[in-house]
Amino acid sequence: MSWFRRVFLSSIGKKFWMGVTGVLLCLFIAFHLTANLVFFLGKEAYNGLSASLEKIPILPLLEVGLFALFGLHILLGIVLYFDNRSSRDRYAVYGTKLGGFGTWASKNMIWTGAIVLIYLGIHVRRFVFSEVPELNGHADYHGLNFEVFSSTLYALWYIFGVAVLAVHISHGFQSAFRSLGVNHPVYTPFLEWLSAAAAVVVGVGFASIPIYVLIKGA
Amino acid sequence: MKLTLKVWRQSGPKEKGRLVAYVLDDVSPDQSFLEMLDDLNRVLVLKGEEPVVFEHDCREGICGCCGLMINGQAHGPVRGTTVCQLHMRNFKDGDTIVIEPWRAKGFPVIKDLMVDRSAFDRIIEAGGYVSVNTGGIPDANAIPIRKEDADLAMDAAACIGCGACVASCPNASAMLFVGAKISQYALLPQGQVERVARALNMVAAMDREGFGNCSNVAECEASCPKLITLSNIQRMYREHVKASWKYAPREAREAAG
Ligand code: FES
Repeated sequence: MSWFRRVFLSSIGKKFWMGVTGVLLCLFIAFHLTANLVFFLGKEAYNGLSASLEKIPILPLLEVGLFALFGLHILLGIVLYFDNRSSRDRYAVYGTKLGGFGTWASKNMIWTGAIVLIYLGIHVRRFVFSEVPELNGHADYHGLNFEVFSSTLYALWYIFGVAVLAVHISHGFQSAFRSLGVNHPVYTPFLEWLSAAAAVVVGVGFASIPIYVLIKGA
Repeated sequence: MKLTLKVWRQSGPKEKGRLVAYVLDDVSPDQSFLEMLDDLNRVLVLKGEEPVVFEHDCREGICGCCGLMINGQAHGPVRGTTVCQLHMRNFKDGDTIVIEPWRAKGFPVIKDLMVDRSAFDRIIEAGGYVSVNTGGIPDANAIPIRKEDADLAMDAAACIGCGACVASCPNASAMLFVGAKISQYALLPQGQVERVARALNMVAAMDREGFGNCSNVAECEASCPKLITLSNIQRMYREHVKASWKYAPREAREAAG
């Protein structure tokens, strides 16, 4: 078997890259969330951060990289889903054995992933490819949030989207480490705990802005 | 105890199967699950019907033949137990029990509850062995092995190859089985010579047999009658990733196809 097939196309190769892209995407989400929360520090801080992010010289490169990361993660997810679907066969009755920790999230990653993808598409259209309002000759990203979330329907959909993302992460974060071969009697339980905590932080963190706007707007 | 059994009946590999209900009036709670099935077959034979085909051999939990899906749980409700070691006292009078064969593309049904598990044999043939020189029996203590490694290797070697991991996995993945088999050698000095080739060949064989990919659902760990842990899957990943990035020996590359 060639190096390429072993490293990329074998069952474990595919899982390895799923884990790598998963961990990197988690890092991106952590960065994105941190940046988002600057929103609560006020207009100047948020718009200042946005402006300085836009000035990063290799920004287009980072964007392409991020896009590729998402692409690979999604592609592998779909390939693995169909691999797995063709391997199994249906039972008349199928249940978890006592002591099993097969969660709903772990068995439905493809579906939570698909919802997150739809959510992402709409999210990027709303926030990246839309007119940014101006304030004193500067782009007012702070105001953009108010504008976008003034639609209650969209705000609710956004909250739903990040909730599904949280479910995806609750399994995905610790699973990514397992797929990279990490399993340790001490660190793995910690990673499981961290995975649950990360899910809550991501869900609540991202939802905080639309909730804030909804309450403020009312 | 009076029990209603819904048993999967399928007359051949290509035939369509279905669940057939049977009622047993006089099941003793002291019987094993297989003895209960023996009773069912006696009733069927006396009635002139064809008995239910199911696999069994040792009946003491060490051969791995007797895998059955009982009410959707591989080897039934008790943890760390094979079907032959499962007692009817774990069920209640009046219960309905659904009995199905393992279901996976890699385990085609032969008849009724019996499946073809030779895919596992082919995976073992691909690398689940060590090459040793023939001769006198070596002294058990000639090679020093760390106690921790010996224990982990022994835990992995407890696998009886029953296939419950595949059966209970929503992806029909055989990674717990292959992980255990790779681990038991990777941990011991005797397994080092073929270590790289073994990881590549056994994983390639597993992929060829059409088993799915682990997605860390961990149903396999819960249903393993020998309590093999998921950590063996992660050890297999490390073995395979290391072996993949390395320049593999030519024979290993050729054998892995
Ligand atoms: S018959 Fe041998 S393990 Fe059950």
